[in-house]
Amino acid sequence: MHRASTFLLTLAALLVAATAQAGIVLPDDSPDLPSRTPLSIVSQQVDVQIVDQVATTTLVQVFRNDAPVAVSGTYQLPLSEQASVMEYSFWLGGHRVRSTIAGEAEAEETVDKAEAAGEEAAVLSHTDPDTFTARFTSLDPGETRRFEVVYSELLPYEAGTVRYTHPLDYATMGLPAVDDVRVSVRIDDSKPITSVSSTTWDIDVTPEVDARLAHARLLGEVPSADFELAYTLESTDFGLSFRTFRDDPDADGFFVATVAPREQVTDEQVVRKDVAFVFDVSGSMQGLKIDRARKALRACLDLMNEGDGAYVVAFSDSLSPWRNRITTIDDASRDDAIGFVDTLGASGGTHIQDALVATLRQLQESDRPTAIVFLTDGKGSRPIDETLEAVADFNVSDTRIFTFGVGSGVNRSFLERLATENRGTYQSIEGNVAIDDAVQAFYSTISRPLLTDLAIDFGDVVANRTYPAVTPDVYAGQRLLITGRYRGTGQETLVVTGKIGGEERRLELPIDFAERELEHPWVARTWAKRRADQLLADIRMYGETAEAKDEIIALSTEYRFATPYTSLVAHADPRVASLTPARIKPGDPVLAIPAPEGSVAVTAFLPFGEVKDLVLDERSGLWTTRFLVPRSVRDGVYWIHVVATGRNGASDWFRISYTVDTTAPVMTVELDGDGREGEMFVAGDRVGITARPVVGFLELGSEMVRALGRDAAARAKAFVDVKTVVARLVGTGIEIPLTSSPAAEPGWHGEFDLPVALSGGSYRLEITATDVAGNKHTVTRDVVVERGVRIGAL
Amino acid sequence: MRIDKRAWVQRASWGGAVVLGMAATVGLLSSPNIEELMAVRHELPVASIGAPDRLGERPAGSPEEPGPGGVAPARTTLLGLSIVATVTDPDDARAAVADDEGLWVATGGGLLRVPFAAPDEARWWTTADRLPDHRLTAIEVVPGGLALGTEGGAVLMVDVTDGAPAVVEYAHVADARISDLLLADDALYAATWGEGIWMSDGTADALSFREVGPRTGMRSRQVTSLAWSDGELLAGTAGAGLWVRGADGRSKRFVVKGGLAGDFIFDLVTGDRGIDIVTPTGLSRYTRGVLRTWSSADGSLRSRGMPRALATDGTLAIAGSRIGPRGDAELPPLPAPPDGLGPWNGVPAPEVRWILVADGRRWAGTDRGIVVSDGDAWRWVVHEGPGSNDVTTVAVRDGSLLVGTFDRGAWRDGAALPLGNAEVNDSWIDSDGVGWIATSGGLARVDPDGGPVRTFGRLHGLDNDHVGAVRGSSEGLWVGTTAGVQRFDGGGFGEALGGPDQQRVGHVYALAVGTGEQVLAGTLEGLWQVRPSGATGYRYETGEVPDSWINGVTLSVDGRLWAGTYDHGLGVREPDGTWRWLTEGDGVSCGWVNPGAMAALPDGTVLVGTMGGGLLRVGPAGEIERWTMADGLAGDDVTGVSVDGHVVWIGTRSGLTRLRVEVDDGAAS
Repeated sequence: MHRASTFLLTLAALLVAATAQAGIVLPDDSPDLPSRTPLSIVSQQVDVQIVDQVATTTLVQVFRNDAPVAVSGTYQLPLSEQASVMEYSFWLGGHRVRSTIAGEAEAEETVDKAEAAGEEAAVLSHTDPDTFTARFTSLDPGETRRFEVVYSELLPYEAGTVRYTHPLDYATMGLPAVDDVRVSVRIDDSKPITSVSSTTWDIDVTPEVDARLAHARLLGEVPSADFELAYTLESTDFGLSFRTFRDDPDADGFFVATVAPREQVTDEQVVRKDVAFVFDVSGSMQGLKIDRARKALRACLDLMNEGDGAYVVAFSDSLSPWRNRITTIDDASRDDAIGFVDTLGASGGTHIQDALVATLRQLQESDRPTAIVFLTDGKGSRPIDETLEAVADFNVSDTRIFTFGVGSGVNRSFLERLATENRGTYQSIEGNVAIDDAVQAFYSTISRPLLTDLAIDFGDVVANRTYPAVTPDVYAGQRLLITGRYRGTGQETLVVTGKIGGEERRLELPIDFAERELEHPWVARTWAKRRADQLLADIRMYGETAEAKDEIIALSTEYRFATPYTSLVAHADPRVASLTPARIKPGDPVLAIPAPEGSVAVTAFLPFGEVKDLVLDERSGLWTTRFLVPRSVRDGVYWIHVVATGRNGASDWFRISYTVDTTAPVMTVELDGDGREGEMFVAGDRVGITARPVVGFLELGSEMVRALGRDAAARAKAFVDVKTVVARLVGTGIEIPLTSSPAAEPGWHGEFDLPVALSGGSYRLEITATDVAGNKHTVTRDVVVERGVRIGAL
Repeated sequence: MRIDKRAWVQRASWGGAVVLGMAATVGLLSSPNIEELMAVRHELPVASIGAPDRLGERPAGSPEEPGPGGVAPARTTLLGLSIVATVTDPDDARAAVADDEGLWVATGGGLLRVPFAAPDEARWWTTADRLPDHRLTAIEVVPGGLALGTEGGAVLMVDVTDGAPAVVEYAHVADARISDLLLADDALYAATWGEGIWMSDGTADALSFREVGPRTGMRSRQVTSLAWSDGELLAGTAGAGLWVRGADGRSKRFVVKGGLAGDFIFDLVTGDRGIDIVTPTGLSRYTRGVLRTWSSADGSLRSRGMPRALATDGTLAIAGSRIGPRGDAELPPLPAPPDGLGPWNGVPAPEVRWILVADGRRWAGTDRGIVVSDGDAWRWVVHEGPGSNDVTTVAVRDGSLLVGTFDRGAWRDGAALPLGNAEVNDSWIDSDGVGWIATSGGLARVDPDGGPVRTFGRLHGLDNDHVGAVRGSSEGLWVGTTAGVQRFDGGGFGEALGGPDQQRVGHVYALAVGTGEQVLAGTLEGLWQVRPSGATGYRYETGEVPDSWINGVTLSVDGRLWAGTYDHGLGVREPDGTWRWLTEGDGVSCGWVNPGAMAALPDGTVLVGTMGGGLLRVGPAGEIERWTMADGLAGDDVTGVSVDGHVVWIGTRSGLTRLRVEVDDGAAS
């Protein structure tokens, strides 16, 4: 029976600082930029759904450019190794730009073209899967940009505790206060949840039978610690959850099973076992590596349970065993083994096969569960297949093999296969990760195997393409996730068998393998990712085949994750939608939308309650409609929500804005030239005109008003919407357009010569500004012309 | 018939997402003879003719001074004008309720009655029948009758005891359309689009509303629909999810992040197991504070597509004119409109706004009419007009009437015209009876005896396909486009007219033809007298006109040139060349003139259609008379005026009105 426990966490304040990086926007270096600091974060919302240890995180961040100049730059989000980005979006002009899966070359071409055209594009490729990066262009001063990333990950599970971490340490990065930070986590687990806690944040935990969402905000503070959450599951004898997904009755369904033994165990419940430690001491291990390998081995020996058997062998191009047989661990033998380890040095080649075969021979004599802990930094001297076949031949005791690859020189595929084909696991130790810490942490787990010889009987339903292909043992504090496809339908009793403490255990679970089961789409994606990982491992091992490559691309496209063959790319199509004109007086603008190909209906929800169905103009390929902006509408920015419905019924939402503007532009006018304002001009003089628009709040927009403050509004001369400025000297036929240039002094400029034959007197100079909505404003100046000639002109 | 609340078991509406008044209709219907049709369809006389009021005296019942109960008596005659008929199309079906004998439907063209016994014999009531407004958006059953909501933000209480509606009470609720009405707990709630929810609980003697929330948030106050459940008031909003006010007065909100199918809610449907919530991205059910959701996105709603409406029996309508049982993978489309207007002519297929189960049948309302199903098949029962009362132009000559709509094509003498572009801007009938239609996709020609419609555009030499105006005379036919004014010779277009300043003679909104080859063009950049030899402009920049955006232009019989501006009033150029301007401060009640909505009468006066201020008749000396909906006019947003002898047709954004003009016969002829 599935038992769901739901906890909603509400965060109220934070406690402790941590050091992980958070999602930031880093501007490009520019001489106009005072300093290259990350952009301010206006708000951040983190919504997490955790179902049986699989977390799906939706991160929404809004950044603001507080610099006085427009910036371009990069959005960066570090991700854990386990995380897989499913969706990336950014908002441009109110329109949501979603990512799609594309071939690598196509993605690169899209980004290159977009950048060349000054358009926005982002790509997540497999080359750096741990950091999600996205380029953006031209963010104006005061403008905000919203990013949304959805990613999933299998959370680490240790000793009955599941941990979730989200980077939020802004203090360490020197970021300013964030207006609004919210985090909410919904936990749904098949096992009862006994506690939920955070060591870094104060959290409100609300246990409910049904989900209830509560919000709490951190307003105007600098988050100074990553959000770290841990929840503990009730210790039961044998826990099993089983979730299915099937959207096509004619195709195989998907399943994810999680199996966990009791988390809290006594020594009596731990299976006694014989463990062999096979460590590479070849020449390449010299220096820090061998020091740490020795340290790791010592730690493992320390962790061995009394009564377990140990076999230690160091190998290079020859074998150096501690003793010639398996030795039962007690205080004396433990000390002796550690003494042996301390004598190990590094030299010679790497004869992996010989070491493994010799060790397996030793373990054949054991009548207890056996395991090999194998560590190397090399590739071995024999062909891989030969080594794997030899291991299979000699592994008659069903020995579990756990492999560690140190550094980048290992044959990862080989070590992965060696482990998975022998019910073990592979772990890579790279970079600054200490060998001793990694091996010690691992061994502390496997030292207490609980559930062995696990098997699942599906009854008449046929399971296939199951991962891991060979079911490993489950150790104390671990949880095993198995995913696969199933064929067949109907009510079946799932029978799970295994050994706990050497005793046979059996668990039965009634399952309805329905024709359609749509509640957990993440199940299909989990399987697809595992399947693709397996195919990639096969390619690494045996080389690329067209079938494997095509299947990886197909899986990547359907279930949305990046692979070496595909990338997640988002490109803001500049033709997204348009309003003609976009800045209007009440009237009937035309809405034109290049809806996605295959759209069967496009509907606009207008801001005054009207719903309009757009019509496809075959010639332009645009969906269009015109609508009426009523006369009574007040000035301001209004949004239109648009829904494009595809043939498959899926809907794509976006929105565009338009501005109703009935306010005439206000200008201040200065005259100069040969005369000066207020002074007399003489026929033949040159008259210079400078018209400067006074900016209103409508032109600034709410973001700029907030950024600049209301008093500063009038100073922001660059944001006006004046389209033309024309000066006319009434009664003379003189009419000249004024021009504006970004390089010139702000404002509109022009000049004209007073005709030499102009009669003396007062003339009215009218300067009329027209904005893009058609509003006009006229400023009048008197030009007094005196007959005569200036001395300077003689 | 006395309405008993208990007898009313169904209600449905499309919520506030329903359309505004643009969608409207011309009830020109399939009959070539309007008056015959009206006589058949309306039992009440649609012509209100009586003793003329005194000249210049405002009748009771104008919008500023509503009469008893706020209901305006229909105007009779004034300044020689009298209403003969007001014509609307009730196909724009926005909300409905059912009683034992039929449906009452709030439409964009009036209150519609569809009897179960004879659904094809539906009839409806408009401003001509003394409704203050026939742009109805919401409907609810109240003891003794109906409550109706309007586009203008009013609620009408209507007594239908005698089978015909009589307005007994009227209240202006807010400056926003009424999107839904709900009678619950002895109070009448009115949802508005933009101004939240209002309530009248009878504590005041007269119908009186006070606001109950939500009070903040633009989207929260865009309420689309209302429902009542166990003492809780539920409100669907356009973008802010579900707002719930409990019996204790406290409110809470449900949004997508809390499990709601979508934050943009079309409708709330009260069912046995809770309140069903219809959103574009799926359905949710609210039961005592708990939501259950079926989403199209995750496949839990098996009917893929964008839900539009839901009935209590599970009948679901989704985008693309499809309707059928919820849970089907494929839903059958609605029957194609039989009138020639459809997606293939640039008009979108109708989308379902509400579904009702009544009289053992399922009824669905769309913006193109109402369909009914006894079983699997659907058939139209109210479906004769274009589904739009939004008239943009009207032309009449020798009794032949040509009507163009905002985006639903054009009709001539009751027959739909298969235009390539359904956005009609202007129209003209020449002396041979040929109809010319200015559309956003070229100039269309329709012969008097029907036949195929020919469209002329860039291929024929037109500089721009967006045709804003068309007028002709014995000298020829002139066409105004975004690019300028061109003469049409029957097969193609000549060079753009104008002088060296040609570029400014663009964005043409109105044309008038003067003597010789002189053409007057109202444009975005001034009023232009255009001749083959050049153009003379009157512009704001040159001081002749107070606004360069000239929407209307006409020449009166005495040689005066009249110009209507976008929002700066009306101007007249005297024969001596001087301009005189009438603005809202000078007695013009509305200084906003609609494009092309000006026509001269034989007595030297001009008729001016305004943007929300009704119809003006302006005399040479500046005397002004005004007609509005309170006088029985189909609408106050007058978009088209055409004179044919003693007959004047007025097009509005909410229907047509036919007037009779009392002028000297000699002059009229």
